[in-house]
Amino acid sequence: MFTKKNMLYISFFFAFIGILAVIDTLYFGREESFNLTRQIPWGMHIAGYVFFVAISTGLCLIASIGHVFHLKEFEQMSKHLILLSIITLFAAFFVIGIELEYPTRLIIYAIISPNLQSPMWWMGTLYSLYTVLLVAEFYFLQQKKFKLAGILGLIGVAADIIAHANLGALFSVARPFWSGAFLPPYFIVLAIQSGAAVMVIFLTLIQTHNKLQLTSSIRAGRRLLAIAIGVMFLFQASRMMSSAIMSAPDVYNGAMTMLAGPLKWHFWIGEVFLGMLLPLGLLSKSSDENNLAVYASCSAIFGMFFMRFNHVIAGQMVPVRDYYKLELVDNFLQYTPSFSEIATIVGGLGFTFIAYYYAEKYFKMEREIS
Amino acid sequence: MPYNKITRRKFLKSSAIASSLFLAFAGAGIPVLFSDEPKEQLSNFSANNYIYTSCGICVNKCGVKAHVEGGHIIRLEPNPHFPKSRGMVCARGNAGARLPYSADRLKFPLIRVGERGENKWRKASWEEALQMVGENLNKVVEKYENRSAVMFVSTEGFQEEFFKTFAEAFGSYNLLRHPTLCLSSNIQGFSAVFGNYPDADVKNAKYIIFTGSNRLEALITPDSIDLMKTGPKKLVVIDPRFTKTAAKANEWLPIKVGTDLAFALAMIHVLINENLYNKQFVEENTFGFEELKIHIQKYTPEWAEIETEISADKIRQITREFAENAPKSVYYPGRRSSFSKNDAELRRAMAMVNALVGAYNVEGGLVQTQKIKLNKIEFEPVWYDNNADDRLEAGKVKFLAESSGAWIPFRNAVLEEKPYPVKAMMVYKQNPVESVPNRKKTIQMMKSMDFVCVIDIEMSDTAYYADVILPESTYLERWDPAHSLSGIEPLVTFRQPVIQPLHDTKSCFEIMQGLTKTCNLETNPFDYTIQEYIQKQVEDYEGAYESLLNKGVYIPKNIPSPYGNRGFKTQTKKIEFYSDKYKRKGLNPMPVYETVTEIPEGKFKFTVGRHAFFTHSSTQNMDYLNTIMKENVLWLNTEKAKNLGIKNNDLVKVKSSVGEGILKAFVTQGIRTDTVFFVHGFGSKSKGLTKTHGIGASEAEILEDHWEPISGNALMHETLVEVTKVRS
Amino acid sequence: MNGKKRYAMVIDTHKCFDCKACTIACKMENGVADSDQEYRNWVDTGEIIGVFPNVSQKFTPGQCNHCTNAPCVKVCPTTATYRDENGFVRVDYEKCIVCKYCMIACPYDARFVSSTTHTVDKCTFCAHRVGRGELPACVETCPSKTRTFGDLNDPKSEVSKLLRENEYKVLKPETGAEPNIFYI
Ligand SMILES: Nc1nc2c(c(=O)[nH]1)N[C@H]1C(S)=C(S)[C@@H](COP(=O)(O)OP(=O)(O)OC[C@H]3O[C@@H](n4cnc5c(=O)[nH]c(N)nc54)[C@H](O)[C@@H]3O)O[C@H]1N2
Ligand SMILES: Nc1nc2c(c(=O)[nH]1)N[C@H]1C(S)=C(S)[C@@H](COP(=O)(O)OP(=O)(O)OC[C@H]3O[C@@H](n4cnc5c(=O)[nH]c(N)nc54)[C@H](O)[C@@H]3O)O[C@H]1N2
Ligand code: SF4
Ligand code: SF4
Ligand code: SF4
Ligand code: SF4
Ligand code: SF4
Ligand SMILES: [Mo]
Repeated sequence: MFTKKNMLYISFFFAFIGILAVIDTLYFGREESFNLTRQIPWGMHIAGYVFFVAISTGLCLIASIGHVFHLKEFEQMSKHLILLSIITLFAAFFVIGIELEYPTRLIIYAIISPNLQSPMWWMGTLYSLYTVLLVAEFYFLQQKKFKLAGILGLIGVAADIIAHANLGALFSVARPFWSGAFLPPYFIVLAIQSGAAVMVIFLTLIQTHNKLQLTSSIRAGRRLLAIAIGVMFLFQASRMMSSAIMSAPDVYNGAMTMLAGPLKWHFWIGEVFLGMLLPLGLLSKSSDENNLAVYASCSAIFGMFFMRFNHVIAGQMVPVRDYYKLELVDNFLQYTPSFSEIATIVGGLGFTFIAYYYAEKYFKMEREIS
Repeated sequence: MPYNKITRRKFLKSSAIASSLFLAFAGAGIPVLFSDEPKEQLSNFSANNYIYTSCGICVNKCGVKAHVEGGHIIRLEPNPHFPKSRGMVCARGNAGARLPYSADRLKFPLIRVGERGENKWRKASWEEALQMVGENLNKVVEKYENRSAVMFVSTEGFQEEFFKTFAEAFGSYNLLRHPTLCLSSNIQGFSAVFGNYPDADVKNAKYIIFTGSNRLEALITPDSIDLMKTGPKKLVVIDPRFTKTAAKANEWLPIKVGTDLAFALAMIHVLINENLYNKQFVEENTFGFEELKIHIQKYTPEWAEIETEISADKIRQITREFAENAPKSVYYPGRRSSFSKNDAELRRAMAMVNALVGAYNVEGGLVQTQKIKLNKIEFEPVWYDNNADDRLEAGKVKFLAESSGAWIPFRNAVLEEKPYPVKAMMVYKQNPVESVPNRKKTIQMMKSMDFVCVIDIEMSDTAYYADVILPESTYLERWDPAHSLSGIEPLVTFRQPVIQPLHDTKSCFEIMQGLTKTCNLETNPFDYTIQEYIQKQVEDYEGAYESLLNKGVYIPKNIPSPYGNRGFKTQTKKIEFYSDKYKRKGLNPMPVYETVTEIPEGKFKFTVGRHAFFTHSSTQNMDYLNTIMKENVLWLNTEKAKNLGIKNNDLVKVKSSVGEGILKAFVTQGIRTDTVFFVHGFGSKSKGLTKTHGIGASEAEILEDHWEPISGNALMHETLVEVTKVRS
Repeated sequence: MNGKKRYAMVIDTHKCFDCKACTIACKMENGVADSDQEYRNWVDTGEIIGVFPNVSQKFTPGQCNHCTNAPCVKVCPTTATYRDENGFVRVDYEKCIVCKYCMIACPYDARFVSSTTHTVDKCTFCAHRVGRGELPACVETCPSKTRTFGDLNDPKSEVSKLLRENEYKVLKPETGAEPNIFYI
């Protein structure tokens, strides 16, 4: 099933769906092709963007952990991880590029009339910097200038952590439900979780398709994933408990959309079961001989997408105008992503696989372990 | 063409595509392809660009000044020179700025090609359409040897004057207007007592009782505005439903439908028996007080409590407060009074309550209105021999207004073809299919006609059943004659076009000119231009025409004070508590209460009422207004809803003896348990009303055709309905 | 303060009867699309609360508060949203990238994506009319004069007077946005 050919076919199909989304968006215009409303202006795209960015961040962090601490299991794969990190970052840019009405204006006016107060400005700036660093790091790895690459990697990690923490802050300044000191670390843990899951999948694919022996790296990835999920579990549990017990109405209601409101399936099935319980269960049964870790990672990735989605949407489902609050259960705002919105994300996934496949070939990395 | 949605949208799309292509290939430095600059940069608009005219969306005719740029109406702003509207324009008046641009407008004459009501039409030239109307009217007159076999149907509006003139020149007695759907019992009742139908001095009143007058949704200028701006000290709202007026009131008394007369009589009882009335005023100005005193004894508050379900104590309290604040207290006459069977008598009793406390022609009380007299260009009506003796429904109504008729008895007579057949129908600016109770009967009547012509601006439900539809220019595209608006502060206004007609439409005046030729009239009452006509109308007042053009309004300087006794135009020249005129007609000389029919278990009284966003049946389909309210919903009391297993937003069926409608339920604590209500104007038959066709329910469809014989008014709160759940 | 203005609006909710003239007037004046998603101001129709016949209902007009410490201004990456020297919080349509961050950040739901400008839009306090010496459209058309507009830096203005003479509140003071629409 997971043959090279099949994987490519599926990826091209996904990418095709993504192209349909692009056409749909450009032809019908964003107002018509997205199910966004005045009260829920951020939807699937923002979730998808954060999702891809987190994977990129996670991969970069893992690769750099290898470098910095000379952990052989990660270090030997760092070039692959960095490449994948670059590709997922571009997937993220693709998704946000579709979302924004005038992405080019961002470039122009971020330079000629910047707002240094805005986390969004910092996001753009830091991720641009981060992109440059990643590409440079990859370049030097390719040139086998490991020392330089290592230094860049270190700066990259710093930029990356700052950028990703900033992303957390971007949310937290905007809405009560998103605020709180926990958001930046939550974002970092989530990134590591994402990176680890993606790493397990890709390394397993690389191992089977490229006939490489990566057991120890995969094993380390499995452990990292399990730890990250564990930490995340504690994070979420304490967050939900505190939100549900002793917090401002906005925060309480936001949590309620997930615990018992319109997002309850997304939360209990998507986030808790697929994102945490199932992967942990599978991981506990996984070994070097079986593929359970791949299934666990897929499930975790699904779950993490729900996590992103729930996070972005729950923060907006509580109407900000007070007077709605009388009977909130009836009055939670509704959002269901449109075809075009879902398809963009699917396209991003397809793009990631295809790009990685060809990039690996192009850079002749198939047999390589750095 | 500004505001052309299609081109604009396409433009935006291509700009989006272009900008993305730029993104893909160029990467940066993309020019901004589209942006709406802030308005102040775009426009070199100055105050001189305003064109003054008056709003045409409802009966109030508020003063507006149109902000027009490049031949396009930006907005209709309040006219500060126009005292009656107190410097406001309501939601409907504002949305009027887009009325000419509506996609659903009638854009050229239409001639029916399918069956009536099949919605099959062909486009026609004005020449052909007018020719066709003329020929058909001539044919009907010949066939039935009766000019009154052609009925003329219309509602108030500036141009209606020409339509009425045409009907007169045509020689038909049967001009059928809207008052018997609206306020004829009100006018009748108040006039019977005072000799006129007064206005309330809301601005100066200290205490106001509204009984079935939803003044904050049923806007009447200046009353609605004065009510909120200066406001009385205390406002009491008697209404079975918690309206927005009730929301702003000091007290809301949810009276049992149709029992207001009991409340009013009990007030009279308390005023007299507790000696709260103004003895001097009563002595000097009234007739029949002693008779009234005896007559009223049986109408105690305790008796009224049983009828109205408002406690006797409450009635006493309200009456005492009313007397304390007199003469600055008003038992508000209201406007629409097509309510319940006691209505004409109710209005008499209300007038008497006001009279007893001397709240008449004084500041803060009821005040006789004044009107600025305008000229007319006279014409000599021709006497035609091939005519009936009288109106079709003559003799059926005690006080029939000859010039307006009585809708329901008239329609019954058409259907019975008695005393003579009426076989052609000319309709101007009225929508009887929706505004006359029992829609099926109106459609049946239209189908019984040899010929029907409707003059409208959109495909109303009435136009839908016509043979020929003549499209009128909207009120913003035409000259309208000067019009004298009576009131405590009377004024003259008019209309001038703020833009040229956008489509192949004409004003009613031009249409009547055309018909004068094709109908072979022996006289031509329209031998002038409309501007000449307006000048003639105001020629007695110096500077009036210029004032109209430049300020949209004319008010003579020497208008006398509205206050102070100006005599009474009754038979006794006094305020009549006792009416000999009524007695001679076989009616009660003093108001007598008839018990209302009980509401059986499982049924509800259906009531109608206004909504601030809509005018009758005519603005629900309008852009912008429809966005505020897209469908009507059935108001149903929470307790009753629970018993019926109906939740908010469930789909329910409302069924009367004549029809039914399906709409969503609005479950609320704001209505009596035995009463239901929904907003007028949805559930249209016409497919030309794209936003209301088949959406929600129609009142006319379920209203039974009750009417009362004193004024001929329709009774719209006498229908019992059943409510059942269709689905969740 | 030398001649600078601080424009503000005072809304007397007791007078508002939910006629929505303000909403439509604003749409006309400012070319806002005929859509239930797009509006610069609104009037919230409160529920009918209580038990028959002891019920009540409130109507609350709202719009951009032109906050002194505006969250939308803070978060806008391109400074498309800015607060000008007279206290108008404005959107420069040229600079707006429609990231919608400001819509998320505004505590009052005052912003929307406009299908006529294809950018984010919101109440401008009718700056173009105020510049001509006229009142904002919503203020002018309001039948009950629920809304009063003026300069808080001018102690003689109607708004200053109303705030001196009445108790007032702003919406969600806890956000620290410092709104310039006051409710009495
Ligand atoms: N069910 C029910 N029936 C009612 C009432 C109710 O509340 N419920 N209310 C009653 C009352 S009080 C009244 S006054 C009547 C009013 O009833 P109508 O007089 O029938 O008034 P509308 O329903 O507004 O219909 C007016 C028609 O005129 C058209 N029109 C608008 N402007 C123009 C124009 O400039 N030129 C031309 N030629 N046509 C134009 C509109 O498109 C519409 O078709 O309804 C009465 N009937
Ligand atoms: N926005 C708007 N304003 C309008 C109009 C419009 O179409 N739209 N039309 C204009 C015209 S032509 C007219 S005639 C006036 C009409 O204006 P109003 O005279 O105020 O009449 P409605 O709003 O039809 O009905 C008044 C109230 O009577 C209540 N009611 C029903 N049955 C009873 C009863 O038995 N007793 C009591 N006490 N109350 C009862 C209803 O619940 C309703 O709230 O409005 C004018 N103003
Ligand atoms: S009340 Fe409204 S619709 Fe009626 S005339 Fe005045 S502005 Fe026009
Ligand atoms: S109300 Fe919202 S949009 Fe207006 S200034 Fe305040 S934060 Fe900005
Ligand atoms: S949507 Fe426009 S105005 Fe709002 S934050 Fe983004 S760039 Fe600024
Ligand atoms: S001030 Fe102007 S832009 Fe703001 S809500 Fe009022 S009319 Fe609209
Ligand atoms: S116009 Fe005035 S009274 Fe009407 S809804 Fe708006 S604020 Fe309220
Ligand atoms: Mo009426």
